[in-house]
Amino acid sequence: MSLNKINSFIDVDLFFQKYFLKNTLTNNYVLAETYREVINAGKLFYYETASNVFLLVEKENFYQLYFFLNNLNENVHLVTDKPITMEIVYRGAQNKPLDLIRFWERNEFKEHLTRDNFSLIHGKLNQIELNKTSVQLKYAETTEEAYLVKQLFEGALDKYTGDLMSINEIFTFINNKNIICAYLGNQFCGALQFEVKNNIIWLGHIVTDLNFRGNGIANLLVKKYIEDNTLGDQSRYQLWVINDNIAAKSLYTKFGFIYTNKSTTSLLKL
Amino acid sequence: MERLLEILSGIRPDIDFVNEKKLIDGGSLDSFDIVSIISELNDEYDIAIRVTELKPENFNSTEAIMSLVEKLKNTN
Repeated sequence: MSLNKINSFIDVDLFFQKYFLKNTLTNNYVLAETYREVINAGKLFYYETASNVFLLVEKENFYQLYFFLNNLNENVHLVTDKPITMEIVYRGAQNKPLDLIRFWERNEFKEHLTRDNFSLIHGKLNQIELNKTSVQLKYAETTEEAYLVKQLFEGALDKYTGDLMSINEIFTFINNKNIICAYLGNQFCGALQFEVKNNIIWLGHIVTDLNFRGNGIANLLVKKYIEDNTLGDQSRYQLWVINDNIAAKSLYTKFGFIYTNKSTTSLLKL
Repeated sequence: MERLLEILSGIRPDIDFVNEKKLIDGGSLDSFDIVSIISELNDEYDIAIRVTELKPENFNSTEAIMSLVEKLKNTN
């Protein structure tokens, strides 16, 4: 069955009243303001069954799905012009919602990636001595750098769940001094993007060019990201890392990041 | 209020729900925590949260969450 567009915030409110009940299973972590924004942009759609409703936010290359499930015996056959992805967040591996994942697997989705949430309070930062290097770090400034960053991130991050940024978003981050670039000689070799949300300094994306790995570039980028964003011992840093990316986890742990017991598994329907 | 504090501490034992007044704005809680809290509130108080109530100011402190519960209990 195909999707229907939502044109009014009132419709979302009605869906909540009808489908968000006691014991409803949901992955909805969208707040009212965000619903308003996506409705105004014409990017919110729904699919309704007898007991369940599914809200889909249209992105550039896929739809992000939020479900309100009251009956797991109903079948869901979503027909869209782009792939659909969803995130299911849970507290620790022991609480992974396997029944819910099996439900979605029965309904044409496949388990995709699992990410773990890591956090650091500045007071718990480990002082890391890094080897001397000729890598240079600087904040991105130019249009050329914006496109280099875009290309680097798109070549390395997951296209459905990697929160890939549009060029306009990259320009905004550059204007806000939120992107650090690494150079070896004149060669662009890595980048880190961060942003401050609700007093947390989120590390959004970090990539080292495949040809330059092994030079400690990620270490340097993370160190600068922390050092340049220190407001005191209570400064908080946070990030999501792919569960089986052992090298990245090791790097973050070295700085003092710890697992917050929060993980998310994405499911994908191509 | 005590029961609410128990519920909140069960969800995020690392947070001081008695004294913290900027749970959302200060970054202690995120939208996933809000969903977890809503789920628990639905169970405990048999209330239905409306999307219009999904705004940070309703979850910034234990008192604000309690006010929301009271409001919804009166309207449901």
